[in-house]
Amino acid sequence: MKRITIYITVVALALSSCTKTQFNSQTYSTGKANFSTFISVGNSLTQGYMDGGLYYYGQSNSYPSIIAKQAQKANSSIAFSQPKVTGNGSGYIHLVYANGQIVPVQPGDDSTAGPNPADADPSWATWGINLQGNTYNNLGIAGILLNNCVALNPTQALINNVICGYQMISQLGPGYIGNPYGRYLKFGSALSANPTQYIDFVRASKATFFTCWLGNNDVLAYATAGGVVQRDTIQGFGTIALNDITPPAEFAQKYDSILTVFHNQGAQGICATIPDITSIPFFNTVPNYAMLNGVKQYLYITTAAGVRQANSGDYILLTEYNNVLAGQGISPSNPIPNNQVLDASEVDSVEIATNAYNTSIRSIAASFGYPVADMHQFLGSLQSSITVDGETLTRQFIQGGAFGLDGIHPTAVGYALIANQFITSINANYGATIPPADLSQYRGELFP
Amino acid sequence: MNVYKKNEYSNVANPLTSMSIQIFLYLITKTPLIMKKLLVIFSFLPICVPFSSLMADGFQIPQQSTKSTAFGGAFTGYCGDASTAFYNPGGMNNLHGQNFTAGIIGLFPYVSVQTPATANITQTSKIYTPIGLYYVGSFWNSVRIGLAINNQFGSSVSYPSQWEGQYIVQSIELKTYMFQPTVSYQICKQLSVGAGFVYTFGTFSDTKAIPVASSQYSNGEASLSGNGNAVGYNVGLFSKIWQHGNDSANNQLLQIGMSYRSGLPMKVSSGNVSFSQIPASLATEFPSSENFSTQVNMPAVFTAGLAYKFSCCKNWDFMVTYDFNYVFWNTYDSLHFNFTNTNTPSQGFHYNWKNATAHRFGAEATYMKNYSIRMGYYIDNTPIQNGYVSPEIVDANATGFCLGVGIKFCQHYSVDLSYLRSDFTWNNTTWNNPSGGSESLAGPDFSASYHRIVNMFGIGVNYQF
Repeated sequence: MKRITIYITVVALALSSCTKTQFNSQTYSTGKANFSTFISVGNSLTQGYMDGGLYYYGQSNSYPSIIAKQAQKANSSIAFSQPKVTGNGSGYIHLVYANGQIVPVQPGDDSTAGPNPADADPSWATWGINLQGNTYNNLGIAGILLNNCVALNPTQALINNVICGYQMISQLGPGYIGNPYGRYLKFGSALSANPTQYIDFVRASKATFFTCWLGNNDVLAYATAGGVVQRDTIQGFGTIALNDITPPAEFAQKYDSILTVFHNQGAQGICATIPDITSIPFFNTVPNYAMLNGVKQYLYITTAAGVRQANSGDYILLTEYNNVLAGQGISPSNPIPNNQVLDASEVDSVEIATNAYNTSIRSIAASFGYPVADMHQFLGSLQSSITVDGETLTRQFIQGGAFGLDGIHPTAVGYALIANQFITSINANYGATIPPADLSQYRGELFP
Repeated sequence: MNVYKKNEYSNVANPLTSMSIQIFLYLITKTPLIMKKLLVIFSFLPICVPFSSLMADGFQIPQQSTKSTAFGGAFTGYCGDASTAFYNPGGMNNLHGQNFTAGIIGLFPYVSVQTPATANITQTSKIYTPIGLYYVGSFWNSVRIGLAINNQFGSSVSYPSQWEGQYIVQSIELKTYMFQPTVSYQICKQLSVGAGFVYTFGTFSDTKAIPVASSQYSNGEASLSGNGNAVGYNVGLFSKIWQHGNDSANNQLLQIGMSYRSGLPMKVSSGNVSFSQIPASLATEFPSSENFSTQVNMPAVFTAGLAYKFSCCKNWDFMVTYDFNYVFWNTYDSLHFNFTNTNTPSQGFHYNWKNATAHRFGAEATYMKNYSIRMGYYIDNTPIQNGYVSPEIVDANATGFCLGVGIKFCQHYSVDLSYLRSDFTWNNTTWNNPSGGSESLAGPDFSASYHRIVNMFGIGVNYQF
């Protein structure tokens, strides 16, 4: 009997000593996707623009860098470099807490809460010039339109070069300075014989795998200006529209040109659709009505056809926030200015173009065999909310967590959500098993 | 956005300085300012206090005595020591004289979690040590008086504080203490019945991260704690239904038992939630301290069991036991929290547990009436449905394997030792409330695989005179 007791004790101790619950380590793989030269082309969203500025933290959390970081878990030799700014970079909007209120403060505004910790870094004035000639994996340029990436004729080539480059051009009206966010690419002297185009940098990238999320600004630039087209005169070229909606046919032709470049390089890749601009807080935060003595009254707005009362289809821009608070639009005598409202007919123009762009993106990508991450559908789902691992994100300004303080660009956690959408699509289409980013490690707004 | 004039290029949006979010929201809805802001922010921070399990079968711990553990928990028809006051009050008449049983169990859980984003997350679960103190006394021929003090529900689970599911749970602990005075009465030679009054006291604590970042902290933290009590009952029926032979080397005895332990709806009337690492601007939404109330429903358990004793050779006695459990877990459907601060909207989580069954088998061989070896096995079905699998409650359909020995040192004293081992894996689970359930409470959308091993060691002492 004693022996049996000893046996039982031995069995119990032997069993209990095995307490390994760890799962076998995951084997992540990039599958058929060749990430040896991973190139991302796009605009501010791709560059990591955040909170109304280009700063180090935002770039560090750009969706291409998150995709690369996750792909590195499958293949540690994947390299990814970005043209980084120093510290605050261009400066960015941050929140302060003053008099019991949460207040967004613009860079350069030192009046609200004393010295502004989010002011532009001194190095920003000349940022990028010394980076020219380096090779970068992230080729995002904030503000760029697909329309200005590719030229269909020599005149467009000159104009594109002027718009994308960063140079003083007296011909383009007084003080024109170009796009500072592309200074890390050498666009050369303005109005030179062979003006460099964005597509030339794409061609030089020798991508083996790419993400292409171009085209947002082809509607967004128009929409964020309240549908007011800004024009400038270049001597010898006449008046050019800087932010008009790109005609869908031209969009399709230029999108095809970009993908042709990638295709001819033998690159694999993934494209993305253009979100519905009405899904972002920039257009959704300021109400188009006021409550006067408990009665809902639509605000007066200025449209191309004159002053009228708003209705549910008109969107007042985030930038009119303070003025609406102060009573702007309450009467026909102080209507919301035309450039601060995207009225229903302008919304229509934007949506018609967006849908046409997305149809082109899908069909052109399909013709090259490139999959498409449907950001139009995905960001649309933020209209209600997205919950991941117990964290719920919405499109609400400040509180929602997904969008930063400019109301247009995502926060770090918002970019991580977008990166995961790309990763899901890459995995599905290239037989890869790249792990999604752990969203809990990315934050939303920094609250004061 | 594409046009950059000198001195303007750093700003996409125009200045929004000195605006007030409160006033602004007022403009939209004209609801009270703070309320609206709270609704906006607080509503994405579900606060809940669910309970985790150490064993399968939800957060119930069916192993409430050392000896019963060795039998896989199949004890309702046995009624051979004072723990019958808990397992089957009706069986107390099977005991004579004064009977005391005291035991302590050491539960050692090991849990790993794998998510699509994270290969391995290891719970830093604490050891849990439920106790069982039982007494059954005989004062009159047909009546027995009993007392049971134990911890029928409980758990303790914690994860690394920055883990992927930190917004669902960082750590959680439940302890319950049951105090059950009991009487039984022998109706006839074959049948006795018993009933106990159950008073329960419970405490819990729960911490989780809140997705509000500041320059000092990557997250805020909510810490909930509270206690409550409940009353219930425990009734049982016991019968020595069939007996054959009385030769010590050749006899057979069949005992059956049934018990029903009522549900214990534990009301927590003044729980405390405290928020820390909160940015100053959100101190109104997340005050350093406020109260809440809730109710946790611990389920009713019905058990039918049998014990078959026989002796077929000299010096050896044998017994096999079987229990069938039916646990009314559907009372654990959802959990709601009402905060005393009326600005804080009430919170809820939907669990949608279903009633669950378990089968338990035990066997014992006793030599010379003094030395026993025991084995047990159980099949426990989890009340949790896929789509509602939470990292707070790591549970799955599971089997357990049990061993034990019992040694009687003299006429009055005996000692029991037991060991239980359970090991399960549940792959590719989700918590996303697929059906929405009876209430439209959104799930946290958490996907994971779980692997859990439990070692359980028990020691118990019996004193009888």
